[in-house]
Amino acid sequence: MSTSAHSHAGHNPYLAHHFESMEQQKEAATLGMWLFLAQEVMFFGGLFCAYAVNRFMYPDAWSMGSGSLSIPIGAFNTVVLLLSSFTVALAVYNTQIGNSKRVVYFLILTLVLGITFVTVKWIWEYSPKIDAGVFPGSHWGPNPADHHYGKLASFAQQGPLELFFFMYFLMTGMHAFHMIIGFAILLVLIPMAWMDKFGPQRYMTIMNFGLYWHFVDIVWVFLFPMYYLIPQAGGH
Amino acid sequence: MEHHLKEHIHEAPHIVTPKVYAMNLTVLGVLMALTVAVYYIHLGNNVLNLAAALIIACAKMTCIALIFMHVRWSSKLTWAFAGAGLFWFMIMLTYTFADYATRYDWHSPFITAPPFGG
Repeated sequence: MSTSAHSHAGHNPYLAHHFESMEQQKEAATLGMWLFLAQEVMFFGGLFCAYAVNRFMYPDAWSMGSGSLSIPIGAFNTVVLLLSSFTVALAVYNTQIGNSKRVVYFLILTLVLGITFVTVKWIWEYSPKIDAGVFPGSHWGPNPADHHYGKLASFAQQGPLELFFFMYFLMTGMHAFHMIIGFAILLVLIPMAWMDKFGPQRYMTIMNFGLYWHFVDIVWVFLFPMYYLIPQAGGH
Repeated sequence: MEHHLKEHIHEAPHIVTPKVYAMNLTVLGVLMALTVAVYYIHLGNNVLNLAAALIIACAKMTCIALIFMHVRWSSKLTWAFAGAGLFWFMIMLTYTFADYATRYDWHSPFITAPPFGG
């Protein structure tokens, strides 16, 4: 929107013609993003509500299912995501002070951390479960011979246990899907930052991407204790 | 004209320094360690453990929203937008659990469970 039409003296070239001031333009962009995030809260809210009801109904299955998840892997991924929130915040800072090289650097770092999260999730979480028959649907059936998931085979409430893993794959999968959308956005933003398209007057795109990324981080902040840290029936 | 000049003065964005971001990251790291620690300590009651985990998660959410997402320095309207989704979520949880918690004759929600499908 930074057209040359706004060439008269005192008018900011980055101010779109339908806004009165940069302040108003920034406020509109921020509110639009928060409205989108409010919708995202409602979307994930439905899933969290379904999770809460099912955990309330089948506490034993939830405890059993949670006990088979790896806390070190979940904790590692939490740290990776928190670090990526930090790097995206630094990308916002460097855009605001006009250091484009650092913006590119921190956006790439954010992408690398995001890919690390999803890769760890796929290789050490999703893949072994699918191989061991711990995946909801027609192929459900934990393999008793599996050294890690074998104990799930003898659990009496197979239906609720399958429901636990259905919720697990649905919610963490939807979270990972949001991250992958973030990667696609980053792959557009990184070349743009490289071409110096952002700066102290044009930082809202990076700022709004940051809002999205932080929101995805917040979702994980809840998913981690709700799936990995459920107290075990027989103590630890 | 004076009105416009006044607005231009406020055009400078609020810049949060890397030091503040780094402090926030440290707090988040400590809270994360605390969540895992609470799990291993076991407070003697599953409901207490769940409450502790959720309170810590809410504290982390607040840190991320206020500092990383700049809500602390945002307009009141942004606060309202940010709170709207959460408020709706609370309504949904309250009404849903008002139904589930009273539908069965349970002594405690975390002790007894109905059969699958029940």
